[in-house]
Amino acid sequence: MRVGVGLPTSTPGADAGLVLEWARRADAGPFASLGVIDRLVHDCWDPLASLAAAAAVTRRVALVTMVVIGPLRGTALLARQAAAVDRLSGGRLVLGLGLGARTDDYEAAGVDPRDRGAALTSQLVELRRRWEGGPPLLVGGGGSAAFARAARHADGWVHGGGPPRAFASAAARARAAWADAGRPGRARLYAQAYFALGDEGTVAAGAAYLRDYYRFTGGFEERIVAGNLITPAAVKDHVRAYEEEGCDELVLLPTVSRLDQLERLAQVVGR
Amino acid sequence: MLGGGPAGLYFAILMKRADPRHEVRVVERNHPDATFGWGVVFSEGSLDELEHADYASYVSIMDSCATWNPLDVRYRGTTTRVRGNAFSGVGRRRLLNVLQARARELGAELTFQVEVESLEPYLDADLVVGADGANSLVRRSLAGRLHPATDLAPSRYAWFGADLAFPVFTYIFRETEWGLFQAHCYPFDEARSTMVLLISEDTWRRAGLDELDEQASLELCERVFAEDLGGRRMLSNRSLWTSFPWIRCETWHADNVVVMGDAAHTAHWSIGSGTRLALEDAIALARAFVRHPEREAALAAFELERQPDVRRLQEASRVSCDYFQSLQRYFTFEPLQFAYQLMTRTPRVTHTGLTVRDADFVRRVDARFMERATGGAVAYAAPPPVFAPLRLRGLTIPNRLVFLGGPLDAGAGLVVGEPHAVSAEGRFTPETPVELPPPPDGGSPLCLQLTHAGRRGACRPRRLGVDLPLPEADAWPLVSASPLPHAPWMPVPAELDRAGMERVRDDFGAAATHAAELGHRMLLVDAARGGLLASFVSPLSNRRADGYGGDLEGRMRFPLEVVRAVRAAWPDDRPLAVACSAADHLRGGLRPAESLAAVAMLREAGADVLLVLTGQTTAASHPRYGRTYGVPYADRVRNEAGVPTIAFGQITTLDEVNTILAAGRADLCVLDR
Repeated sequence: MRVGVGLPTSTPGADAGLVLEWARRADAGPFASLGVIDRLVHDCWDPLASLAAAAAVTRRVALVTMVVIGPLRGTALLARQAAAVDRLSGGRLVLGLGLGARTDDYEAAGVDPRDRGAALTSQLVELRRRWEGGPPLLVGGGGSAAFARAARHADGWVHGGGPPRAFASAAARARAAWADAGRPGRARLYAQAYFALGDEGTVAAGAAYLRDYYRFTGGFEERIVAGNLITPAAVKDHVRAYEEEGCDELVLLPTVSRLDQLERLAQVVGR
Repeated sequence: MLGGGPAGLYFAILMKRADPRHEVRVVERNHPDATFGWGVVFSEGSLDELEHADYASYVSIMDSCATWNPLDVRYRGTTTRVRGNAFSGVGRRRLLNVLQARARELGAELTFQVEVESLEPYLDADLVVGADGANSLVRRSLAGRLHPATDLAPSRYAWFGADLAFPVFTYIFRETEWGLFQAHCYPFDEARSTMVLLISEDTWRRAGLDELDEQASLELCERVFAEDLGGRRMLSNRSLWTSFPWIRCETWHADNVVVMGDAAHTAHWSIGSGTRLALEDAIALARAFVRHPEREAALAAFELERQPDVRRLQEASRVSCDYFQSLQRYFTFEPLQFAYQLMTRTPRVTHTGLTVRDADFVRRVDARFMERATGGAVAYAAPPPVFAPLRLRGLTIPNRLVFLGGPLDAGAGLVVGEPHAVSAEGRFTPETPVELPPPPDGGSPLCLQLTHAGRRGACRPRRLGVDLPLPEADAWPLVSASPLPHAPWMPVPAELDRAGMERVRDDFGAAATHAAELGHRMLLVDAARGGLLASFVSPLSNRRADGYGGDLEGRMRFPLEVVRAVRAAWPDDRPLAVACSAADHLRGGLRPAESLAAVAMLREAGADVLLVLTGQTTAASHPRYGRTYGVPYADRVRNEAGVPTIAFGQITTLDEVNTILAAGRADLCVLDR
């Protein structure tokens, strides 16, 4: 299993200096990829613009969206932006697409959320038709429709995070959908988890960010806070358990915008 | 605490234990000695948590429990015993008395015979707990906040007592002139048992139970179970026939009010977990208050911890309830297999799990399975069902594992080959083979698959995904039952005309003749997954106005002509399989009764075994994925239409395969590797 790290583009207080230095160091470090997440109604940088910047200062790491909320963007524009990142990076883009969990993102984008499932499916098909080759496509989401969409129209599936047992059961369904669709080979399975390494203040800052980011879930944010990986042992256990469950790439997302977070994680993951 | 049942009382005990300064008041409508519903049952392990939560009441409850480990299945004149189940039963009144005494001892205030008519007078408490049962006033009062949903199971049940102690937990199945009567019986003290009766709505009406009063209904049931009662009486205590209500709530709390137990969620009594869930709720809620002194945090933590477990158990209980409502389809089974099927009705109990409980029972099941598979007597022991051969016409499939698309050298009993199109026009992609290969030398028997892609044709190879149309210049014209595309982005096919139908039918026949000449031993005709034949079967893709559309008979006409043509061209001693779609998973799709009628027609036309698939009628149709998700469809086809089946759908372990086979849900299983 490969281990990637998220760019601090949605955590509070990030600036250009931090994001670019983070990308440079991750490229030198033990990480396989740089990941970005997407939400419109939040202080969250545009994922593809961020990866374009990261592409310019890195040579090696894969650039993964986990995930871009596809239907918020017109397919033609999305295809052009993604193709630009892919070319800037020399073919290192992995384009994960999903529906997102919030309808206010759709309202803000002026897009009708009612047909978003069908819209994402058509978008995947359209991207495939535009690109011969092109970046690998992933689909995020936890229901059967998402598993089917990933199996029928993409190269793999992205898990939204959670305990290894939850990943295992969802991954089994993603694989079953792949078999059901009659696809050759196997689905690429991606996953993400949050971390905050350091003193109590760091952990508290990480928790505050997650609470704020996931407040809309109405109670579920506490479970996400509880799942934040806050010790080196927790990170290692999580990585090991995901590897055992057949995950191909686990991207660890920061919850605090400080360079020491990357260094601390590199020490845990690199060993 | 509004409601002095097990959940409310137990929560009172735990809160007083956690901090004696808590002021705890329990308000109950009934008299302390009143109870409805006789005994409650706890399954294996469910009392363990009580030992840690409050040892004093645990000991008193255990002292009052009848415990037993075998269970009996009385079916068609035979009693089959299965050991190793570890149940405990206790009189509900006895349980309540123990909890009442313990709560009082700890200083909780218990008030009885107070009818709660409104939440208002109680809302100034720091916390109001709605533990007021399935008909919860608290839940109904806060419906706008808790978002409850209730639906009723389509069967009737009633709780009776009996003045005899059944020796062990006993399932009784009695066929009557009105239909099947089931009794789930368990002793709860030395002299009495609970009998929960379950019948279908139709049986309930035919027996006239809808018009009988309590006494007359009791007498009728006594006559039905006379043999089991051996002269003893059944007892009624407001034993009314009702439909089981499935209750769930989106959230369980609103401000300072929380619901728990049956008030918040019900689980079907056939897995015996209602009381257990209620007690576990009380434990989790009390623990949440220990960890989070702040109320809102405690209530959120309680829900986070409990909701997933409760959902899982509700799901399992739904499977169990569905099973008991539909088990008449298994009435052709021998008693041993019937008991096995009952034991493995939810995925929580597998072949291996059952072996741990009662190794001898599973040994007998394995031996009998092999005996029937080989037609020879098995003296004592046999390998598990997956290693039993299956004879189809002249072909012996050495074991029950099926791989789709290979490999041939990995030990599968049968490999269903990748689809071969019967004509160039019927290819899915330019890479779909048309020319039939020779049979392999050695390895697993190969079942050659013949297909016509219909409106799913002219697509790119599936490495990048399915249903991606070829560029127009490379595409070929598509045909289907009706001029409707498989997906909005795919080309509109032409309606297959009469001449085209004859050509396709002849192509299938010619392919079968050629396959026979090449020496192939088994054939599969693909009438599923949105291909040409499947497009005729589903009302969503067939809008024809000629004799090949309309009702099921019309829609099946062409697929049946093809199957008959293949059967006629295929040697008598070689088996023919058909892949069929048992559900469209879309509104307006194939109805369950239609899919059964369709498979019966396929059987009649010469299919020896059916590969049961679902979905892919259109690009939007998919099943609900999950462990062994396709098995219920194979089960229904096999046991309601009486056609041997190959099950498909997230079957990933040999343990699952053994369980499916031994329970008679399918004859062969496709293993996902």
